[in-house]
Amino acid sequence: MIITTSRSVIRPVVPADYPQLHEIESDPTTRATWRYKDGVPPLEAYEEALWRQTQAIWVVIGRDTGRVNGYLQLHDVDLRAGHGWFSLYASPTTRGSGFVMEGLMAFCESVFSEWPIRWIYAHSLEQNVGAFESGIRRGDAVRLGVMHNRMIIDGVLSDVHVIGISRDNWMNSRLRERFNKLRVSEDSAPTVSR
Amino acid sequence: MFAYHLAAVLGPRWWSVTKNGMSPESTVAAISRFAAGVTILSGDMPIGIATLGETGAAGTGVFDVKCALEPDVVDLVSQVVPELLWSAFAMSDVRALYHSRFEGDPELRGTTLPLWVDEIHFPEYLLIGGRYEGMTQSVLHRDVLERSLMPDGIGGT
Repeated sequence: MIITTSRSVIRPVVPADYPQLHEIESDPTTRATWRYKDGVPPLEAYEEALWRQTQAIWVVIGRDTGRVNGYLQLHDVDLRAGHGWFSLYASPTTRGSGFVMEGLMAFCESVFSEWPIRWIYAHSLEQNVGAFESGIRRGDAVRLGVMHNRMIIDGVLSDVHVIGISRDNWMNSRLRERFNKLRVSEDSAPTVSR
Repeated sequence: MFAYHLAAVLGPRWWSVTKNGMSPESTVAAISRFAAGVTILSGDMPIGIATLGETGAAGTGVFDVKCALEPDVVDLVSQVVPELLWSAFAMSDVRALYHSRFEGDPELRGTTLPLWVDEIHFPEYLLIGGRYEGMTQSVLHRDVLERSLMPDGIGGT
């Protein structure tokens, strides 16, 4: 599924995107995650590492620049249980601009429309969890709990929050309704495709 | 053989072992990935299995214990779990152990139960016996277990 909004195109990743994804993951502020215990692999070995335990990746492209502003990963899907995990990464240059959260709405729409998944979960380090707070306050996402002092980041123990988004909730949410109205209004433009 | 028999009895309740299917091969493969495991005996009869896994750089691990669901077996196994937890901390360098439990699972943590702190609750996590059961993940810190054996601790004598 490809989703277009007024400022982004959210589409499945293609190999030509890998250098930009690698750049995002190599940034010191992104590196402090638990994804790569031994550091981000070199670009030559990146594809295999990127797709490890991963079922799908969507990139968030800025329509004005054509650059990758971030990406979202669906990983560790368990179809028998009906849930999976997601990770999201924002480019350091666009962090805080809402591009990736816009991508998350498109991600929810894609995943819950095309996968038999009831819940998606994310681990969020204490320093990143603020990105989810407004969604939690609105009831679009749920904080399922906090693992205190779970990770060691740069030698310091850090809490890890577990965030959940349920299919039932997303499909009936006002957020989804508003998001899809935005897409519908974009349908008159030639850039919209599904 | 006992491990496979137990997996067959518990099915999804032993999720870490049965999630990829119930063939003996996949079950044994899943069990062999644990860092350590012990079979709990009553006399000569195996009645349960305890495992330690996911011991990593963060200094934490995952403790699991499974047995058949008969009340007398549950009672016997829950009596030895405190000792198994001590052993798990003693044989590894972890500072905390995590334990996951479905709503309908028997409570096997015995006298250590008050020492655990619930941290995450996944609602409607897995279909078991025709209905979705939530799963709660709890943590036990090494220092909490150690303090419990001090004279004013719950396990003091």
